[in-house]
Amino acid sequence: MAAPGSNQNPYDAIVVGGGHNGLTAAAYLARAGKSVLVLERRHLVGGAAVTEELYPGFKYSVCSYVVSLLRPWIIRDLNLTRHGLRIVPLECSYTPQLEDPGLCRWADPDLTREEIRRLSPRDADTYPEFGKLMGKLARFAKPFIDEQAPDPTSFRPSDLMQLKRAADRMRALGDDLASLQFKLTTMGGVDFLREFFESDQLIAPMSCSGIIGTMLGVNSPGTAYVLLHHYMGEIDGSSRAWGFPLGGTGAVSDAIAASALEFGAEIRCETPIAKIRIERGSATGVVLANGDEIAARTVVSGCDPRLTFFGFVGREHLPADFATSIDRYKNRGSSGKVNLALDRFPEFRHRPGIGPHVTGDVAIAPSTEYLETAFDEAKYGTFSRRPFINVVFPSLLDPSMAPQGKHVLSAFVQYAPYDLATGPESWPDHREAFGDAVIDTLAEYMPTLKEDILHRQVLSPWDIEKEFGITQGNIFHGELGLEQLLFQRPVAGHARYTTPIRNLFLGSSGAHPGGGIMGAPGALAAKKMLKTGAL
Amino acid sequence: MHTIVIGGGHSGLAAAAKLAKQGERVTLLERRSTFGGVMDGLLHDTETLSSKTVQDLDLASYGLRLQDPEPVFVPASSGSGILVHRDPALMGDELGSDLAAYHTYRAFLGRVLPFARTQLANTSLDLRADAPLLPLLKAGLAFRRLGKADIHELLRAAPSCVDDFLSDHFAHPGLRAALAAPALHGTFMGPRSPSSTATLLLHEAQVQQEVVGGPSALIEALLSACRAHHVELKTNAEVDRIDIAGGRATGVTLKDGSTQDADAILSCIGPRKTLLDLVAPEHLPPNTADQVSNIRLRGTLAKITLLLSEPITYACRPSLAPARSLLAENPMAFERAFDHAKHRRMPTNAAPATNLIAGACSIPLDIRQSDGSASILIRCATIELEGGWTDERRAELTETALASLAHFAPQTRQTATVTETLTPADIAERYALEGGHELHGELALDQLGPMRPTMELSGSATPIAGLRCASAGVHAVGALACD
Repeated sequence: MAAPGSNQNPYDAIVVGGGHNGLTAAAYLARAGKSVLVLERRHLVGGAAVTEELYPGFKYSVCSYVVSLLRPWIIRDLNLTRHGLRIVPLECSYTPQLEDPGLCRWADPDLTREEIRRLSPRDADTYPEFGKLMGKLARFAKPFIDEQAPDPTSFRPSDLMQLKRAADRMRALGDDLASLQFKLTTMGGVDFLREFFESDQLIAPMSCSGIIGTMLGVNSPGTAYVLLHHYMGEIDGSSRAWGFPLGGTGAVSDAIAASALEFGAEIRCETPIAKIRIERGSATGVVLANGDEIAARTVVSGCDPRLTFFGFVGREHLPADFATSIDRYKNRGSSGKVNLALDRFPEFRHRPGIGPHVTGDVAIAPSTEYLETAFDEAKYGTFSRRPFINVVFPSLLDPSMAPQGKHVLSAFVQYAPYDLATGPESWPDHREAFGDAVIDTLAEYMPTLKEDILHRQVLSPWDIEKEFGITQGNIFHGELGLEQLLFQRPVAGHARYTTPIRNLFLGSSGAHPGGGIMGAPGALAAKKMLKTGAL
Repeated sequence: MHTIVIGGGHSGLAAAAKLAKQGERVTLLERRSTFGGVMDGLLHDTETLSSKTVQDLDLASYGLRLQDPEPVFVPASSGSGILVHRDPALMGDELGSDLAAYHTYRAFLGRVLPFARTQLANTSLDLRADAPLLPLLKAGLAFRRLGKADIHELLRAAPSCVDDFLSDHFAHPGLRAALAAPALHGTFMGPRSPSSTATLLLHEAQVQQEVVGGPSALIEALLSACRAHHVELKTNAEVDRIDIAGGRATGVTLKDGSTQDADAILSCIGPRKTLLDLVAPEHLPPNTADQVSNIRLRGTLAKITLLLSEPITYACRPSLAPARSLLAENPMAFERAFDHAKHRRMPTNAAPATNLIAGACSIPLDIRQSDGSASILIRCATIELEGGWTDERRAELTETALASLAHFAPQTRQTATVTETLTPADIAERYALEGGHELHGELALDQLGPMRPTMELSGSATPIAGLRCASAGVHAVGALACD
């Protein structure tokens, strides 16, 4: 028999890119008995969900640093727990202030209420009410992320039924909640929260969730709906938005990879591809960077849409209007990452000690004005001098991440626009200044931080593009704006994992339901491939 | 049947005339000594006047004449600026390579906007759960008839920001600025704000013809119609409260203590002001009061009136003295201007410290001139100015605007004299506009269509029998439509 991947014996599927979505697609396909080959450019799988020991003894979750909404059904289907996945919920979200102890929002609602009461008794009373409302809306929204997006432009009976189900759910919410749902989908985070709360110190950290990974500010319309993620709560069945995987986010990828391998998939690292092979409008395999060709009956991309279609397919194979749509697809990279190896724990000025307040995430988001100003700077092509930073100390959650008594600090930083006013290519000249700005900002809250640093890694969006292959370093493979969600992700008419190229599928964060370590795009793409008869 | 109409702006006048024409006895109460509201010395464009109103009231017979909207000139620091016509065929060779795109763009709008016009003015659309489904289904079908390509483009474009949308089509910065400008009127957004394309489409859906003679000619015609239909017109009649008995509006009490009974009341002064200021709280369900108090109306409008010894011309094209001009070299000029409003700062011509983008940073001005005077609208002056508006701030705003004008038209330093500057605070006071907001509520996706002003209050009804609201704050598209 001819060798696997030869034209006589093609793989059932080649997965381009071994990020967590690519791996998830591979695992589902292999689980269905298909022959699958995953091709990863780097020396390890995981894409942006990787753990790397860049400084001896210190493990960084290099890019993606927390898990949100990883689908429980994927964990079950792929036996990820058996493959070693352990996710611990983040129990606290701490927003320090320069002049006072700031605010901790705990998993325990009573404790949170007491904290908020310090800022505003009225807000303290509203907070649980708000949570209940959001919980109801989250139950409305959740089904959308577990199935392909309903298409309001389709006349097919199955699509009409899906639309009807969504409409029925909407009407079942009742007028007040439906109105709230509409507001949530269209309003800016701050405007929306101001309908409920008065304390800016509370509103600021709550509004941050809507800007993560976007080139938008907390006041920008459309940033409110991400608030819902916090109430979808599915980390280990508990109602938390974020979780930390023991071993770093690479552990998620490793567990999925182990599952895929067990189901019989093949994974090749350090195997960059040059092209997806297209013959007569159909994907028939890939051409590797070294010129080798591997044949497959289908190809599924775990890469972002622009890289997939312009990098690997080529404009000449695409319908002109589709190519225009990909041209217009918004991909602005807006965030960077700073990882630090620390000699000791850098205590916070106004909440010293290594208490439970630092075992969750820490948001540098002292006011809405601060956040909006950070955005303004990025809008005009500079990184924020005082950025929004989301810090996690992985070594407090998993001591194996750093040597005994030492710590790692993971800082997600916004805004760092890919498009600097001086051009993205100038990032190497600005990278260290950007890192300094982040550390200067953090040191205002953690006075000993600078002395504690043993090693630092600074990733600009340009670095993320170069190192991880994500176009413009956009962590979600494309802005999570209303116009690029649901049946329009990435392009209306091709939002259900199929592409204009026969037998080429898109199973990355650039497909519905989008970014974050969810696994849903990869899994849903694989299901689509299995269902459509392509395989 | 006796109806009291509160507020003698264009909406109140049009509503009063329509009701009277249907045979009702109508009394129109205006707080000021003159009619016209924001059309009396504040706003200067009339191109969104609804042709339906013109027909229903037969305004032509009262002397109303219409013309195609004047083109808008956008001067430039370098080059010769651009004169933007709505009709691509009139653009000549000004646009160069953008001309074909402009044809495509207008053709797209021509296909999709009739749908928007019909559906957004469709008062039977109601999103509430117990509302009839048929109008929604009909609207859905009409939507689908647009065809997949246009639907996809409409749904992609509407939630996106107008800067991206226009950049998808055009290279010319002045053209993009001219097209983007009206998208921001009445909003609290900049051109980089998502959903500003939706407000652009709404504006475009409403533009028809403008009134020859401008707002004053429109008000004259509406007043004539009112008189012809025997509307009782009262000025200096400020309503203090709406009298309510047994859950039903029975009349009004004026500030002077006098009362007027009525079978029905139509308030045209904005839903929020009506329900929160004129209706005693005990008459409103708490839910309604909450939702109404959440209506956002952060005004950003200021106005300067100039006396001109000669018409304004621009250094980049001295041969032209345009009736309308827009001083904004590219859409980002609006963004920088919006930053001032957003951060509750004074508008300034200085570039922000972090701004590395080259080019002038002067604040955008929307100018209309005729007969020796000019009206300048500034749309980046926030009513919520840190520290509040003072005489010094008014003077500072005037100087900023004059400097911005002089940047493109240096001779105006000699030829123009300021006769009046209205800050947002002045506007709020003179026109009794809450938040100084000319549309009684911001244009935003959650405050439009069946959500304007709130889901419960859309279609002009209120929880109080006999009391309805009209005006831009309730109209589905927040227009100066006089519908």
